[in-house]
Amino acid sequence: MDNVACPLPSWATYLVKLGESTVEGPVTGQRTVIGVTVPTRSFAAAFCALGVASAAYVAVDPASARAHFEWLGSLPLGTPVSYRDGHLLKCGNLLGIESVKGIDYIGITAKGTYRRRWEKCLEIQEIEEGQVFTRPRPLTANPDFVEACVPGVDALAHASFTALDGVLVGIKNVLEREIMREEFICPFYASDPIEGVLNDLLRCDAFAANPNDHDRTAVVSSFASELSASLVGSSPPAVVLDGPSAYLRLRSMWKRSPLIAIFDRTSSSAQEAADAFNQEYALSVGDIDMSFLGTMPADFEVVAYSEAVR
Amino acid sequence: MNFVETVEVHEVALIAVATRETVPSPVTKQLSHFVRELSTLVKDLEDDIHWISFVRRCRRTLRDLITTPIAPNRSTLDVQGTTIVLEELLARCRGGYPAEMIEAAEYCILAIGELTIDASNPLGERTCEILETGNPKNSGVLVLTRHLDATKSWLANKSPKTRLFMTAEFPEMEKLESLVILGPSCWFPSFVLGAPRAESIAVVHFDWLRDHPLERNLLAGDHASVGIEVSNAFRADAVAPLDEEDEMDAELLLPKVDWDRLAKDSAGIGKVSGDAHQYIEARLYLLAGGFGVYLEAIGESSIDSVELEGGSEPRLRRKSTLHVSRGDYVVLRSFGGSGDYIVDIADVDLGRSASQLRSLQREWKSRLGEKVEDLGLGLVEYQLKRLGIVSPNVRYRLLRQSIKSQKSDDFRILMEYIGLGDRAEKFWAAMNEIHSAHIRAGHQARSLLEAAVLDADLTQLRQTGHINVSLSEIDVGALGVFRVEDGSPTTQIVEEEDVRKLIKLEDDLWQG
Repeated sequence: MDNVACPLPSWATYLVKLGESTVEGPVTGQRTVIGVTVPTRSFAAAFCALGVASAAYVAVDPASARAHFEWLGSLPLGTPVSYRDGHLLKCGNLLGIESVKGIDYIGITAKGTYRRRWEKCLEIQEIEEGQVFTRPRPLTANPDFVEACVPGVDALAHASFTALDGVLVGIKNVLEREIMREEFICPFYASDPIEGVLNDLLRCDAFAANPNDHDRTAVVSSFASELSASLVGSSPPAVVLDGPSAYLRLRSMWKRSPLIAIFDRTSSSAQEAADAFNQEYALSVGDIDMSFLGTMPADFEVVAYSEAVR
Repeated sequence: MNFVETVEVHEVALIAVATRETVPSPVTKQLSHFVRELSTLVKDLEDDIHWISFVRRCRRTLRDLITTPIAPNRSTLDVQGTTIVLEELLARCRGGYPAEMIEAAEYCILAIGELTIDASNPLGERTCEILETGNPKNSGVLVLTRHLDATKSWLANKSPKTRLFMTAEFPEMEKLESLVILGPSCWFPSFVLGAPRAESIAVVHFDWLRDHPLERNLLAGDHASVGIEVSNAFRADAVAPLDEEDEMDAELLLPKVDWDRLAKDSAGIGKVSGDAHQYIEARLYLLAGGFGVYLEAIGESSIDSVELEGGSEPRLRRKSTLHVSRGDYVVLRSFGGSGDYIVDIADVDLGRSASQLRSLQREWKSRLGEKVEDLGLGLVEYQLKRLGIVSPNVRYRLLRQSIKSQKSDDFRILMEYIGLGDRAEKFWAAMNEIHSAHIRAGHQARSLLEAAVLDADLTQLRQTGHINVSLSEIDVGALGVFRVEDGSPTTQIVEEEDVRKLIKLEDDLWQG
């Protein structure tokens, strides 16, 4: 504040931990539902989603390389694909499998022909139908910030795959302001800290700079009447519902995933949403003790319960 | 709210304190005493409109005095006018009722008469004293008053840099140093203390009012209370707290909406003699500014609503009228207009063919209406189901807003049933044309409305609960955005003409 760096306030770190906790340790046949009331909705859902995304992130398993190579080989010749080349994301068309001196390669035609050994093909992805890849570009705008915030994570690998690490439901233009425009630094005590925005870590599909960037968090409007095809029937690691409208309208869209519902106590429909939450809480399997997260901020109400997966 | 402002709001929520500042006011205390006495005497006369109106008017006057930091003798509060109204009501009650009732009412009028010459403003003075202890730029006054303009002028005169807030502005309110809440806390939404926005909050009200703690938690379960309690820290120079029997319970003064009377008074507003009337199930809503409106209580109807949630830019959404609730902002024609404006825009879009197409629409509805008149609604529904229409929904089909069924087969069966089977295709094509025009009209109106609302004064919308907007490019007359303040617990069958027509409500029926 006032250009003086501070650590994240305790309410923000609590929300990150809360998000992480929903992804970890699911019980078979049950899911976790958490209701949180806050004095202002600002940034609450974004930090929860950050916790979800960081807990859900799994680096691609090199052991799956052979299966992925064979899947690529099964695609029709000419299938448009994107692939990582150093820190860049490039595109081309599949040329199929070829074997040279007993080693399998996949061929790609881009500006010329390019061959890649089978065990290095994990980062070759099919470009989704209807999307057009325009030009080579950096995989991530801010790899240093990602690696500073999440030590041990390879920022380029993090940006090389599309995944569904979490779903964030809210009012898109409000979330965009918080996730794309508010700058944070890491580490806060360093003399030359690295600046970044929450989206460097969340990689929200709604705020991607290019249509086929690799995203990790799906953002859904609170007022959406239906889900995109990629989300229909999906079971993301957790869903964060930002505000009463998101909860009242869309909570039943993901019946198997853990839910975190954020209610701004000053919202005109907070009571209605809380009443609905309380009714479902009354039918729950049991309470979940969240004290393992440490001291809850005194301006929060948090209620967590398990419910049977329907 | 940016991150720094968000951090400040969380910090304030943790350190805020609230104290109660009670203000003596012998004149209003006297009135409250007589009103309480009269209310007890007439409590069994719920059907007597004169006594009920008398007490309502007294209660409203008391509430105005509690919520408005203005001297009672100022014309804004219309105490003089109240005296005249009460005297007229009392004149009608004289003769048939016990003397003690008449006497209690006379005392109420006398007490109100004293207000007409009372130039003191103890609530305003105490508010100013509190504001003087802090930085006016970082202070605010939160009010519920109906007399917003007069209160604004008073504050601008006494503490020009202090901001005046209504509760609808609370979500966007940034951190303040001090906030005066004018009136008992139990009249405000729980978030004023559950999500405090100022380090120091003073709840200011008359000493004869008994406040109640707010239920600040929203979620069930056993967890600590959020927010802050109001502490009763009395000033050194304050008079001793009143005995309980001298106090008036603040909750007893909350407005009681007389839905039955409102419904009776507002029915038939759109009646045009000679017209064949259609009836529809509708719910009466109270709107900001003392207006009311009936909205269809049927699943097929929708209305434009302005979404202001979460500090976003206003967005226009089409919302089912069944889901309209308190705090929503709905778009309606301003006073004098009626019906859904989409119909007019669609007719302009249809051009010269509009009258012919609408005449076809009226024709099949008229035939269906005749059938219902002959056989009754239930039998028509039954017969249509037997013919293969899963949901005939005949009551809705009779309304002007219904254009066609979704399935062409259902429409053909309906046309055959009412004797228009030989022209079913013609009717279907015509109704499709109208339907397409409605969709285009809806898109056009919504994009223009969204732009108009973006240009509008949202502070005014949040403060007063309504604004007027005009769409310069299409001629649908003046439109208004209105905040929904309450909805009737029950629905009614009203004439179609009465629906979506703005009604000016009598104050005492919803502020009484």
